[in-house]
Amino acid sequence: MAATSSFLHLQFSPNSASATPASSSASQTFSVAVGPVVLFSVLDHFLRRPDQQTKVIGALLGVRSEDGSEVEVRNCFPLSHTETNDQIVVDADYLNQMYSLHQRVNSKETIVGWYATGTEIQPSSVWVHEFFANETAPFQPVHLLVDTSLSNDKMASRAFVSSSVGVPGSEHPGSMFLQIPCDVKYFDAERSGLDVIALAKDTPDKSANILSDMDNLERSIVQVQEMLENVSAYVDAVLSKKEQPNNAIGRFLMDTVSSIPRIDAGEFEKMFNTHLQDLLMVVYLANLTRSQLAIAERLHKMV
Amino acid sequence: MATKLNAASALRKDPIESINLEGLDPALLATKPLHEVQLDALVVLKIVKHCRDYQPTTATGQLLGIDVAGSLEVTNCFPFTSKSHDDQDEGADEMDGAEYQLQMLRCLRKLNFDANTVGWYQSTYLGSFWNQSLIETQYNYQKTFAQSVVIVYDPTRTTQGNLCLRALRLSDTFMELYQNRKFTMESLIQHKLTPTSIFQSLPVKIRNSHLLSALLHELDENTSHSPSLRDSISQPASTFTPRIAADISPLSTNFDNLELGAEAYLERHLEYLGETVEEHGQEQWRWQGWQRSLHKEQQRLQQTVSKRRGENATRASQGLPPVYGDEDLQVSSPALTKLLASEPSRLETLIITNQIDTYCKQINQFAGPAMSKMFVAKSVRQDAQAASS
Repeated sequence: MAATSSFLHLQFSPNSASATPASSSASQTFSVAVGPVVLFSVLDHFLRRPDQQTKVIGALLGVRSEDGSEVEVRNCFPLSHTETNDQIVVDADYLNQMYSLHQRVNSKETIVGWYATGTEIQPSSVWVHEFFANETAPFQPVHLLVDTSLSNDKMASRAFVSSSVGVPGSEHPGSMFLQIPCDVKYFDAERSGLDVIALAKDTPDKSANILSDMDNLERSIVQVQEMLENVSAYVDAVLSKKEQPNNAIGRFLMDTVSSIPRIDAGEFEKMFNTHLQDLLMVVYLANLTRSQLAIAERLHKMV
Repeated sequence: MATKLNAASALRKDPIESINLEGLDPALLATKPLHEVQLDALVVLKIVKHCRDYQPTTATGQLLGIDVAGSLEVTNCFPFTSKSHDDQDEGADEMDGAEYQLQMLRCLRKLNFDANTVGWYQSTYLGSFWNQSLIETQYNYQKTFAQSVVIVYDPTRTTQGNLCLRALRLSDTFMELYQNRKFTMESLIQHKLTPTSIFQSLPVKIRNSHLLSALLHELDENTSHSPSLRDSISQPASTFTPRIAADISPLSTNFDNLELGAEAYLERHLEYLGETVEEHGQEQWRWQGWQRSLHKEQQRLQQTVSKRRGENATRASQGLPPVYGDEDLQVSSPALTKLLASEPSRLETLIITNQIDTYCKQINQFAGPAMSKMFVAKSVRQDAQAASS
């Protein structure tokens, strides 16, 4: 089929994409934000692929902004497919079933595109993309490509949209995949979760226990201290003329320093003490309640 | 919930392709008491996402995985459908819920995901998760799948900067008691059941796959060399804007837990604590009322019996046969047995006690770091003053 030869993959590095005026129109009108849970699911799916299979595909769920130019990918589910030479068969029944199941839990999230793993867009991607275009009509689907083979030592996750190219009116218009900006977006609650997950990445057995509030606080304070040391080392270096001063950094530092509110010492002392009293009072009450309960429990036994 | 469970167990009975277990260490296959719960990073994020979508209502879902030598590995999960959408046809919804679960499990298994139920998860608000329905559901789970746990996730505490997940299991003694639904004082003492021994809390561990660690390292790298940061530093000072794009990366350091003011959190805690203590008082009062009436009844019976004994004695001294037989001298009556049987269930008290305990512990857990934070702020101030003077 001629379509395989009329497939074009334009690739810009993310920096040049925003710099060249020709491509900026495409990148500005369309952007994708991916939730961390999506990337995690893709990797999990990839790990569970059948023996002979080299890549996995799945559907992306999410919401679009009203004009359809911003896509927020919030969820995804895996799909099974079989691939022979240039032919790719996606299990459409499975897609429909899974989609309806997901709809029941969260009806706001609709299919916005599909994901695949691999280093490059393959000819067969054109077909899958067209298939998903039917699902996401009237909007165009988004394609998320996650490089699980870690080529160039990078696990790049890139997003694409396709637009048709070729002679107008011809029977098989080709497709052109355009890379669009793609960030990882997360929420406050997810961040705390990610923090703990990120802790596990440096341990040899890739696991971490959940920290107590106190340990967590200690970790944060140590981090702040490190940052302060970093900054003061830099400032010292600039002062002793070892390092080029950077005005922007200087402004940032000044801004940060001036953002600290000025509180009168007596006022501060007063605030501190009342606060401390409140806290101690509450703790005392809590402990009192607990001991009362324990006593009540014991007394009951005796009755 | 019961129907859902049935669905899950029905699926389990489906013919499973015979798995080759040869060459596996038999120790791994043995069922041992659980000592820890190991969550995949994916599961943590899925739970967080689901619960956030559904705030402020509670969200529940199923955990999938397997237990290996005492450690429960949870590798996947999926949310349950919410009931709040169509309350009018509760029955139909329940049916659909079971059907939904079944389909979901089948779908997941088709793609090599673990389709073995190991428990469920629930979101909670400030740790107020102790109630009858939690216990009922967990009981049913543990009845069907002995090694199942419930993961309780608290979104409000998590937004303060520390992930809050708890893994709980009902203790064996409680399971036994709950089966008979007999929660009298006597049976509690007999089984040595105290409020703290209803549940068994398991340590939670989070595990990443190697591929995921690679991704995390990559994201981390993006943080330290983010293009937006480089841009704002390299621009001339005249275009200075005192803001760095906040969305640098998910792994930029999180300092939410250094927030000083948290009165609202404590206030709400105290409010809840007050309410629960009141409930506890009512429960106590009910039980005492019952005990008083029991006491009265017993005394009344005792009096009649001693009166009859006295009459018997006087008649015996006069050489006459006793009026009352042995039956009449028993300290029992239908009213008393009825009263004994109607002892108010102590279950509610047990639950409330646990709830109060949870609140108090949370306050303590919160107050410790809060106080340290205050002293940190104070010493920072003093240093600053010393430096400036």
